[in-house]
Amino acid sequence: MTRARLPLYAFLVLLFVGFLAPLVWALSGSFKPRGDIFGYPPKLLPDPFTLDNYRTLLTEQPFARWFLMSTVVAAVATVVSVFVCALAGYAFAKFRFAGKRLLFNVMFSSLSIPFAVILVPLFVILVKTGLGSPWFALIVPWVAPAFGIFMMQQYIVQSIPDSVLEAARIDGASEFGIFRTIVLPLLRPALGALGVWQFLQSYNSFLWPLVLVSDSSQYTLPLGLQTLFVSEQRQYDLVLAGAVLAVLPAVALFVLLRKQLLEGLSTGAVKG
Amino acid sequence: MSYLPAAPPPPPRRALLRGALGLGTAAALTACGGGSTTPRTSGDVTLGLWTHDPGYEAFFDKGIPEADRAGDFRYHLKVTRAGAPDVVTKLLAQAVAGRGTPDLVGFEIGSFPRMLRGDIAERLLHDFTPDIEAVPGLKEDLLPARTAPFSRDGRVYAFDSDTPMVVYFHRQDLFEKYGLAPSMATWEEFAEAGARVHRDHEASMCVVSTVGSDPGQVVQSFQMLLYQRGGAFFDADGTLVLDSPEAEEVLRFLCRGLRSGFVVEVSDYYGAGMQTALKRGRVIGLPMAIWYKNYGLVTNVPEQKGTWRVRALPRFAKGGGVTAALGGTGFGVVEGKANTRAATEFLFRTWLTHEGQVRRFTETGYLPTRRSVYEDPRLGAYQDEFCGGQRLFGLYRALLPDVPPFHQSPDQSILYDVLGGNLLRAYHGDLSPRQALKQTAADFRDQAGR
Repeated sequence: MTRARLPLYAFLVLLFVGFLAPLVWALSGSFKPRGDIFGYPPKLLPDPFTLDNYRTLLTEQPFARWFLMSTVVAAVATVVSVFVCALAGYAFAKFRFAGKRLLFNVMFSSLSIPFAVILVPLFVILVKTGLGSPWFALIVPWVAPAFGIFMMQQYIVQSIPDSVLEAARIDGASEFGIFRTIVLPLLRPALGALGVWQFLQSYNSFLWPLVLVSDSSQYTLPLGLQTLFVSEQRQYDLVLAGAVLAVLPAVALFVLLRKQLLEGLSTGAVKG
Repeated sequence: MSYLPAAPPPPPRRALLRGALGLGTAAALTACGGGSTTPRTSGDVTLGLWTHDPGYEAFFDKGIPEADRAGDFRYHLKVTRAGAPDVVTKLLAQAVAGRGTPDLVGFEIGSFPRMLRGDIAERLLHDFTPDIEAVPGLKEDLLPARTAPFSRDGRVYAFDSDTPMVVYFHRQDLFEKYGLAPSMATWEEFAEAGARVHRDHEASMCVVSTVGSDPGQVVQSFQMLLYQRGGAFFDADGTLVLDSPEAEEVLRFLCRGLRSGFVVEVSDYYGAGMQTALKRGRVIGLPMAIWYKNYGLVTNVPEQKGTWRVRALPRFAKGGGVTAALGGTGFGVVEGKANTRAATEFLFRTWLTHEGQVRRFTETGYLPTRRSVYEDPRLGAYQDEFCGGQRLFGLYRALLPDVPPFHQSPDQSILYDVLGGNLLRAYHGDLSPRQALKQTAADFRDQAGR
């Protein structure tokens, strides 16, 4: 570390503390009795320290079911969507077909449509086609996100030369074989980045599960935690404990995929 | 007294076809017709109940034996909980999709105006008017002030959970310590004493909320005193009547109070800002609805149990009453379903009976919406431990005639948005009270188109 860089590091440390503060406050508050959460002067360390908030959350609320529902739905949606986006992105990047440009532009322009606009039509379509069961319908909106397809298309155009694909074709590989054995491995960093983004999108989704699910036992985490905030009786103690637990899968995913995420955001798989 | 509502309405599909107006609401109504709509008349019935508050869930759950005894149904409940505004969003989406609507819905008062837009309430909710008339004496006994927020064109679409009177909460110990006379009768006297208390002790006797992200809460502070003074936001026809001399007087009073320290700004009535102000003794009194004791005081400062008291609001020297009303939750029944009749009878046999209304107070802390229940000796004998054992029902009975009606408009959310912003500008001295109200009326007309 050079002296000239000290101000930069000091600034970064301050920024880090600023970003971390809400999480630390939530963590600290989750171990305090409700009446102490906004105590004055504020205390960083809980005194008295209590696990009651977590105990109440896990025993008196269906938190475990909400957690399971959210995690399973987000995981399945992530795996399926990453695969679909890679497939569609590959098609847009490397194949010629009638209406390709129009289709791509339509897909791309759909990025500007807020989800709230398509919420009710999508819900009606799923119900009328008999596909409105929560497990299926909670996943459907996330399986082919326009952003993911666009990201994959851009990544493939920039990172996978046509010559690699042509060589595979000359060697007799099938188109799906090329996709599976050449394209997907080369896409790994981008898939990691998209996977994290996609997981968080589904995991944090509120409006769609709200409309779709009426059985409290099938609530996802954001929906379940909202029920703890009913009326003016705001159960900050339980909400903070729930928020701390809810953030764990996202943190774990980030830790596991950190390398791919950073590579995906910064470099291409093949240098041209 | 029998609690048998009127006979079931004619087949809903016919009614729906007759009234087919807008495409959206037509879809919503068709939704009600999804599945069998042949009314159930007896036997086991599972009612879908949507509510934002587990307190209501517990109340209705305990009421099942009473309802079973009184009629031909054997009730079961399937409860869905969601945030107050989310209940309406979810209901409308399910209605449009044609499946999954509940039988019984709790509408927090601030969310109900969305049901008043177009003909949504008329088509989606059961009109209780004939049911009320079918029960002898009920119409006269129900407080019109509490059916008004959930009514339109003379039809009642929901029954309120509360008569949420606005009272003056105060710290008795600090009032005595600071030498505040118990006999102050007007807000003007309060404000004068409040300026002194703030100067000498850095404490305030009135509060306005300034949480910018929650216009409803910003509006509440002004709304309570406006209605007490005899003003209103909307009249019975839903016409904006905010720009009045009463409104100007109240807003000027609050602005002056903020300058003198009699009134203090807090960021949030229910969260960190208020809790800190209460714990530090910066707020020693405030006008608020009776439910604030449970949701604001007991939650935030349980250690101050026994030090708080309740009294009637001081009057404004120029007129008005001694109370207002703030909040409430109306329970309605979705029309045109097989369970519509069963749900209506359930509501009449739990929510609206004398015993039910007594139980509502003892279990949830909400005041009866029927006049006669206020005479019940069990309620008269009730002592409030948080308020130092104070017997509060005598006070509530005395305030009852002064509870003003609160009429809602489908465009209420627009008013709250524009009013919230202009109130903040007035509080901060950027606009005069007169300008703030004129600006609000102009902004509302621009955005609501009327």
